[in-house]
Amino acid sequence: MSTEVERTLAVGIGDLVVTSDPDVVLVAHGLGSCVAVIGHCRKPLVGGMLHVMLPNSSDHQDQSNLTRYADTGIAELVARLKAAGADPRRAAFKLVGGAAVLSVAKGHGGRFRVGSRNAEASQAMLRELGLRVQAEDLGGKRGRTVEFAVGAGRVMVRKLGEATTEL
Amino acid sequence: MSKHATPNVRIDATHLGDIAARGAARAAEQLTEMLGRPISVEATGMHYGDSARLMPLVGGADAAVTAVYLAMGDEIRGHIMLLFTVEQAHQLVDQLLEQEPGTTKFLDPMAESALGEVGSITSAAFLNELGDAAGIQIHPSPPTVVVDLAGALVDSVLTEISQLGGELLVVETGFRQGDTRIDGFILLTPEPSSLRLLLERLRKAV
Repeated sequence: MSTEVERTLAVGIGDLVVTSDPDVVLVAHGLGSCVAVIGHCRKPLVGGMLHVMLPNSSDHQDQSNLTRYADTGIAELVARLKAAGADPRRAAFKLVGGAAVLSVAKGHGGRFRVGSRNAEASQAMLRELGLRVQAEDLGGKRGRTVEFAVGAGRVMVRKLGEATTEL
Repeated sequence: MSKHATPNVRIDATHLGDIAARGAARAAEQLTEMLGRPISVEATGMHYGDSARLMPLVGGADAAVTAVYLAMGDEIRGHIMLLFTVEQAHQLVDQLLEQEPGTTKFLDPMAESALGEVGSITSAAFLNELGDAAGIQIHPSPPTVVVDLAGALVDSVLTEISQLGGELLVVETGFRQGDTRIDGFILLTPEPSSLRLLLERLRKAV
């Protein structure tokens, strides 16, 4: 999906990457219940991707990696966008992921709700910060890979066996 | 709501290594009986919690993989999932159904049920060994076969267990019939409270 000039940077589970390099493509591979939170500002050019694993930091004693959680991770994403010179209120935010891939399984007894909780917590945190979600591709039962070309602000989403779509 | 502690309970690797080896032997016995011809199963490696280390082994987070998923309920709660690359899953189906290699191109209901059976027998054999060693009955659900991106499947059990403060345990498994070997990965994620119970019982049993 990325062109030759562009450099791809994988954003792993619980990671956050913010960059002003127009040639960088940020990628979150194989999102299941995790959510990729993407922020993009044109002037100055700044882009960031957060790979949310769990909804609320307050549920966990492990505070060693605050970008694992939607609440603290999004606060950090916004802070870094600001530090790079962007005005978050003029940035475009997009959300991808939060599926329930294994909810098709027999006998799981109502588990696999982390995906929807991650999606809701991400939406709520952006709302709390007064920031608008421009587009989202959330939920369902299929895994996704998302690519975010920082220069063009283009977000592409791929599901297994389906055509890649632009969000 | 109480805060979930960082995982500090772990099954002792060497102890689990013996259990995994016995589980693999038990699975081989049952698969051989089911198929009416010899199939060997080896537990070839084991590591904790590192999905980043697992991904390259199954072709990367973006790779299509086939998973046989079973939930664990009752006294021991959690998830167990057997992962194959799509190609290895198709190869295993051809072997199970005694078809020409390369016959299976996608999983039809017959292929899914054959894979589900192998996943169920292998997982149950491993869990029964674990249960016997700890003196606890472990009840896996019927198997479900799911094909999706490796990252999405692993992250689904990882987030499920991490929200409770637990960890992912990976047992690398090899299925061999004749001179063909097929690699699979058992992902075992007991919920932390179940893991603590297992540990207490395993320590008493030693």
